[in-house]
Amino acid sequence: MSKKEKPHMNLVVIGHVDHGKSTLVGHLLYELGFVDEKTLKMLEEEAKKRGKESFKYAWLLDKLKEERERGVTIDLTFMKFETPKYYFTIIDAPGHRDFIKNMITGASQADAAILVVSARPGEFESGMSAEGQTREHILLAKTMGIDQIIVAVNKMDATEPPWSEKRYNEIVNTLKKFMKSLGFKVDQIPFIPVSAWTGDNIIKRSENMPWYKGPTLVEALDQLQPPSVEKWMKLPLRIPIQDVYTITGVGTVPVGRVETGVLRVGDKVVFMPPGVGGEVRSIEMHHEKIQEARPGDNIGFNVRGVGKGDIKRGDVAGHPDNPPTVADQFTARVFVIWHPSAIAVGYTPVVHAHTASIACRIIELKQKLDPRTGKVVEENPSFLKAGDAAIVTFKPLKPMVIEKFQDIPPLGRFAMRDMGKTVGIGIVTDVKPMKVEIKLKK
Amino acid sequence: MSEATSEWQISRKQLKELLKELEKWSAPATTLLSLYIPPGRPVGDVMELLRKEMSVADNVKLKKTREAVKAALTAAMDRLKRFDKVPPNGLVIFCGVNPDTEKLECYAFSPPDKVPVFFYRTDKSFHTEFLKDMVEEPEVYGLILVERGKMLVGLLKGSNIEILREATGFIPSKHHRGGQSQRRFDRLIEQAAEAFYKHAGEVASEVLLPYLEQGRLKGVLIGGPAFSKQDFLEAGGLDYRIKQKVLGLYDVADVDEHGFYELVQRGYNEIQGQKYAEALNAMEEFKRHLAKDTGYAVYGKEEVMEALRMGALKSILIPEDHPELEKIKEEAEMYGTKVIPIPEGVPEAEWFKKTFGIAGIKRFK
Ligand SMILES: Nc1nc2c(ncn2[C@@H]2O[C@H](COP(=O)(O)OP(=O)(O)OP(=O)(O)O)[C@@H](O)[C@H]2O)c(=O)[nH]1
Ligand SMILES: [Mg+2]
Repeated sequence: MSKKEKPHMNLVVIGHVDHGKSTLVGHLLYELGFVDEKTLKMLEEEAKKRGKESFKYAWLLDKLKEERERGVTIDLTFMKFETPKYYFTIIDAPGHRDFIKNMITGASQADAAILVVSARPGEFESGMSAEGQTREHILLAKTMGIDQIIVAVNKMDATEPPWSEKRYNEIVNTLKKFMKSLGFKVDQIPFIPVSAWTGDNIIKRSENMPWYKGPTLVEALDQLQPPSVEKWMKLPLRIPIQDVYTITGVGTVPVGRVETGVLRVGDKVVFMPPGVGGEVRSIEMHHEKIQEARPGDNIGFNVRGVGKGDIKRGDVAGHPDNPPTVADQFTARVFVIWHPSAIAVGYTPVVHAHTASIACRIIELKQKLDPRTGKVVEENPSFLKAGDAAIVTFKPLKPMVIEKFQDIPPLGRFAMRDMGKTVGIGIVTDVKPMKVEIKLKK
Repeated sequence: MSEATSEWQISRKQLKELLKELEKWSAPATTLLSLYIPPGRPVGDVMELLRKEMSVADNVKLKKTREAVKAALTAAMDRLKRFDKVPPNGLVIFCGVNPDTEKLECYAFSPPDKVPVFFYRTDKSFHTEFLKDMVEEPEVYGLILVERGKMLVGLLKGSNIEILREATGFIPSKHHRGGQSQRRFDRLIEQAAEAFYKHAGEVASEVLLPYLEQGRLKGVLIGGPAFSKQDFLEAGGLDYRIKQKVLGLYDVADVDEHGFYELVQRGYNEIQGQKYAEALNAMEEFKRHLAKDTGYAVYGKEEVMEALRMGALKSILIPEDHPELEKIKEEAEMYGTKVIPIPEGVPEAEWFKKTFGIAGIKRFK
């Protein structure tokens, strides 16, 4: 079967630092035959030489010297693989708190997530602490619109005793409680006990954990629901840019995922906020030229007259007759998750929406809402605190594309962060656009 | 004439107030006159220049503008005439029609520091930029934010944060291409990253060294995600003298204006007593008491003054431009209460002013 006939899925792998995300992805790709023996052998030797043998699978993803020296993922890695049912792009995200903006970018491009949690004593607990990224990543994934999650309860070889069913149950119960409170349908979520290191329950059913009756990781991947392309196709074209490459022979290639609409070779496109654009010369997906890209497709495309310096991560491509909206101000329904003091007019958190992260100043607190019913409980509150829901107006400090959630949902939701933590989440209810001149190259 | 000269001398505080006033002025046409005369410049030369400008002004087409410029020039010459020698710190003259009163007004004075330039212009607003440095506190902290491919350097000055320079570098992504050239490519990425960190250090040094040489640089805070800070320091671009001034390295995820606020908040322990940092910190404390409804926060002038006189206040937060700032400071001193002026550069300053006017934090309930 040709891969184009299989539906395409984008998967982001999330979880607390060091819980084994990269190792799991590396091992999965190896077992599925998407990494050859020779490459792994070479990495194994190199890792051994530097006393980092346990990172041999992770190094398939962690290619930067900085990442390898520190044993920590910094930026997203995109890899491709197939299962019987799907063609996947897997996005390995960093777990370290300081790189959460990269994780959010990855999550904003995904249809589903694999949450990796370590079962090793102490590690699960630190991920679920107030500062923990297990907690924060689940929340952010939900905020970025991910409803389908597979949970990999990892490092089962390192529980006390190894392969402990009791530990597994303890973890599953804690996670279910937390995820339910965020609105996940926890009964439909597979919780798979695995070892990314030994490979148990990745493809092969584990003999060490006969008590587990559910699907293996690969089986669970095939049980995911395909994204509904038709629904998003009818909306205006929006492609948030994730990175910009320069490729010899082709030139500047912005890459990103088509969120809504359809892009065809020969279309005129414009990148906002910069307002530059031109004709689409070529579109590439999975290293193959294609004529048309649809919602969910992770593509690279080349646009006549648009150079490396013109665009960057966070810009959004669209058609010039219905260009992405650059906000002078936007109003949103926000929920304050955490704040050590109070949020007042003037407060300026970093807003993360699609692939953009821009500091935005709060210029008006319009209404305080009852977080359960959504009813207005106070007009123009003087401040907000943790647990409050409210209608708030923001002014981006730099030009930024954001859309009404009602019009283009994937570009209408955001997270706010400050002091290394997620302060709140929001849904855009209104946008006051800024005039931006569009300059198309001939 | 020495008596007359000292009469023209103004203090930093007077200058600060004057600047605030002058910055409010604006004119529909280029009729506001700014003149800076550095020490040692012969008065006669300057007179000569103004006379020339007077005849140039004859060519201004619009009658109203022409007359306004000529009136400002005449007034400036009239002031200048009173000196036979420029005062030791130089002389500054601003003349123009006050937009509120519609009357011609003139300010001539000798500033607290030496006038650095010779400058003459008529414009839609006054050129006050050469005086700004004189009213600011001389001591500054350097702020550096750095990550792979981006660096910002700025200053924490008396009552605000200023971004001075940005450096960016192109470092290719890791999943750029694979295959045989992968290893060579990985090395190129690494070299690009190292070269960038070094360049970033050089840029930061270039910006901060002048302050160090003037003896004004009290310390440097460095922020950035995870180990970017160490890599930056190890790359060797940062001048060793600046390196010796580093007070601490702090985890900050974003290299942008927001990151600077975080850096100042995180580095608070190293820079206690710095006006802006203290105001940020006091604001956080005040908001915390508000949000948690602890009963420690009081606000509104009457309530605050009453609590002060009962000896109940640990501190008072008050907008920096509050007309009664000095008076309240004097009174607070008697009760051992600390007064913390809130400068406009604090993000919530305007909200604070509008919502509370002034506020206090109690020592006990
Ligand atoms: N014993 C055991 N160790 C594991 C397992 N999975 C991962 N590890 C180890 O955990 C360490 C961290 O693994 P990574 O894959 O780098 O973790 P990560 O979640 O990608 O980390 P970040 O990307 O930095 O957040 C490595 O030493 C792995 O060998 C497992 O199943 N069992
Ligand atoms: Mg990793």
